[in-house]
Amino acid sequence: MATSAKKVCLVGDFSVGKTSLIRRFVDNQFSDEYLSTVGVKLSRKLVNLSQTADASPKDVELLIWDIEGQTQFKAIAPSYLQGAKGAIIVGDVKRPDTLDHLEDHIALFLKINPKGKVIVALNKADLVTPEACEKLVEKYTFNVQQPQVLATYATSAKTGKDVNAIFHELASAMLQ
Amino acid sequence: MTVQFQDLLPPCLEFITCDRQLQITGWSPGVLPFITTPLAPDTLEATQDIRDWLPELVGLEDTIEQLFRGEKASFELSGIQHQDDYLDLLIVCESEGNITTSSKHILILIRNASDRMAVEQHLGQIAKEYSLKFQELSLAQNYLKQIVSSMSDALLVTDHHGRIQQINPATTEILGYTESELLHKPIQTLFTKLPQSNTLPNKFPNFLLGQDIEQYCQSKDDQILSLSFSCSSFQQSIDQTMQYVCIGRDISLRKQMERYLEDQVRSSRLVSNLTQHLQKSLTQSDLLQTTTQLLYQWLVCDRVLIAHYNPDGSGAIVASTASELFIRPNHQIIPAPENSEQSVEYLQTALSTVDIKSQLAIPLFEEQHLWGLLIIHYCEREHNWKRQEIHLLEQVAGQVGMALERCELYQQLQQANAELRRLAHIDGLTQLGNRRAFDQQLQTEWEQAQQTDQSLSLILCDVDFFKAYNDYYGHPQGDYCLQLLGQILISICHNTVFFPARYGGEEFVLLMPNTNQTQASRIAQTIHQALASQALKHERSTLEPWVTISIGGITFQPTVHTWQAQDLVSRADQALYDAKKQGRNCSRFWTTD
Repeated sequence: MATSAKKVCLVGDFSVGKTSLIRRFVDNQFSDEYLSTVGVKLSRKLVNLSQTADASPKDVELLIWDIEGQTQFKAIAPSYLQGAKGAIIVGDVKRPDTLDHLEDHIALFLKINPKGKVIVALNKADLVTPEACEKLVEKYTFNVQQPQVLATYATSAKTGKDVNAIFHELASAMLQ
Repeated sequence: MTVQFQDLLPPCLEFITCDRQLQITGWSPGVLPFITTPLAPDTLEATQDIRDWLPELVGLEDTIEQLFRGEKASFELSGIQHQDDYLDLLIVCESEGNITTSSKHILILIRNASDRMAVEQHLGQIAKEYSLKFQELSLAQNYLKQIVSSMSDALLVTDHHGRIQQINPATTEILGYTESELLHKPIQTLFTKLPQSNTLPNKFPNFLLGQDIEQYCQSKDDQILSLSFSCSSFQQSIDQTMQYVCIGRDISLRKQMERYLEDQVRSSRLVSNLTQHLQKSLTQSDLLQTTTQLLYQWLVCDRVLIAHYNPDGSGAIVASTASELFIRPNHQIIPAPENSEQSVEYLQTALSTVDIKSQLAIPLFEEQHLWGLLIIHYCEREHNWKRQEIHLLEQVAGQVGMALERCELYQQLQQANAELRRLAHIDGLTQLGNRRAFDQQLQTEWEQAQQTDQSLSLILCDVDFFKAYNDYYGHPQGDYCLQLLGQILISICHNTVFFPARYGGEEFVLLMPNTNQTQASRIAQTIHQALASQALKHERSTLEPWVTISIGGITFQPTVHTWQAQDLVSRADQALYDAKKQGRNCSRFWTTD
């Protein structure tokens, strides 16, 4: 492959907005309609990183795995996570249970990919106040205990808030 | 890849193989539709990087190397969406020819899983949507539960029989009952009393429907609480019976404050009213009776008494609201003595036999001395005296004390005025009425005579040769002479309605209501005789050696005469003049001749 390709997985409970985040990032589109993902779907996006470790611009192709969300009856298949360099762990700010599962998802990903990088996205931030977002971000910050977790963002696929930021920060970290 | 291997595959299964460098080494003819993507090369050729056709393998290089090394038997990826299809990939390592040679390939078996995944997607979509709805419902239920739990008002839901089905924590907190103690009980059991029309069993009390319905409730620890209920009915669905939701706000404190303020207003009114009445009461008896009556009405008690103590310790009941002072529990009446003032002993005796449930005695002070007691009795029921009531009664007692002082002063003033009036109407020398007193009495009797058509007689007496007497015997003896005549008139008038007065100098007048001329003449004669019997020496008299008088009289008959009051005096004076002219020491009555 000509450019560096990195496998990135989006992991989280069902209906937290993983597919919407990818669609916003890849196609800059959004739909309110909920269509559940089954199995896994790959998307590609070429990311140009202007600020890299050696200060030279670099392109990285993200192979983004949109993985079927976890339900009460179906866990995430570990085989999907195999070989991923990074993961975006997604929760829904309006569903506390999905936020409570974030830690489990991080643990699963890092168990399979101990050197992988993780970013946490608290999605649907447009549905709560900025003050509530701030509190949630503070509450669900994991990088103190787990250095592999880079940051926690309050994102909104609907408005685009911090969507590019999470992918770019992850891509940048994966190159290092 | 051999044609024989392909022949072994089932029709729905395709494959592609690659070497250790992930370069394509072979494929089944039907594999192309499965792996073609917009980003894939135009033609499938050997030595191409298999990841250009199957990007799903990016990142799996280590896993594939494990397969080559035999550390892993296979690796499976199922349900990968590839273009419009879902694929299952099974990656295994296979050896060509002799197993000992190193000529190995990675075999990737590809199966179309679109049908299965379509079913999974359909079922998963339904399940997830239901799950989301369920979560929303749970959140909504939790939300409602939180609202209900955080309410500070009591919330009770009853069925159509009025039996409690649900309560919130505030209900327990306010009323003290646990949930199990209230569930399935009629809501009426909470109320201390119900309107008669709403005591139907097995029915929700309709009087509660509406807003701000105040109802007294009894808590578990027997406190009476005032709750303001807002209740409404609802029906969960058309096939279900009516239910009722009642929200009760504890307004006990507010009611208590309202009662306190009402009491304050009533107290202020009472004190103001009492003060006004007391200011009008100028006598002690009025004052005390007014006080007992007003307190009796205000306190809704059974008896109000005022006892007065004398400095020597004796005392009496001086005012009471009860005509029969005390009623024993067996309804036997203890009659009050005829004397309106009950003795303290009587009070003590009576109190020892009557059933008094509550009593309060407030001291009454007059000029900082204990004057008596204000006593309140409750006989039918016990009364819890409130601090405010006691304070008010102390205020009342203070007002009564001041009013008693005022009454005392007023009484002294009245006495002083009466004495002044008496002095203004009395002749100091003879102790008879003076000219002013006579003029007032004449006017009164004259009007009385006219109203009753009764005759009125008047006689004027004049001491004969009094100037000579005075000159000869001196003024003290002259005064004695006048005093003697005054005493005679007083003794004659004793036990009569006659009015004697000193008219001026040595002249005396006697007013005789309901007396005709014959009777008056007889009285005049009596006066002459009485004076003669005294035989007071008068050596300067040319008539007798003792003091004599001349009398002029007149009798007014309203049916005959049309005179004015003063006409009687002038005509009596004319008669007196006639008596003197006739030689003195005699009586003459005015006639028309």
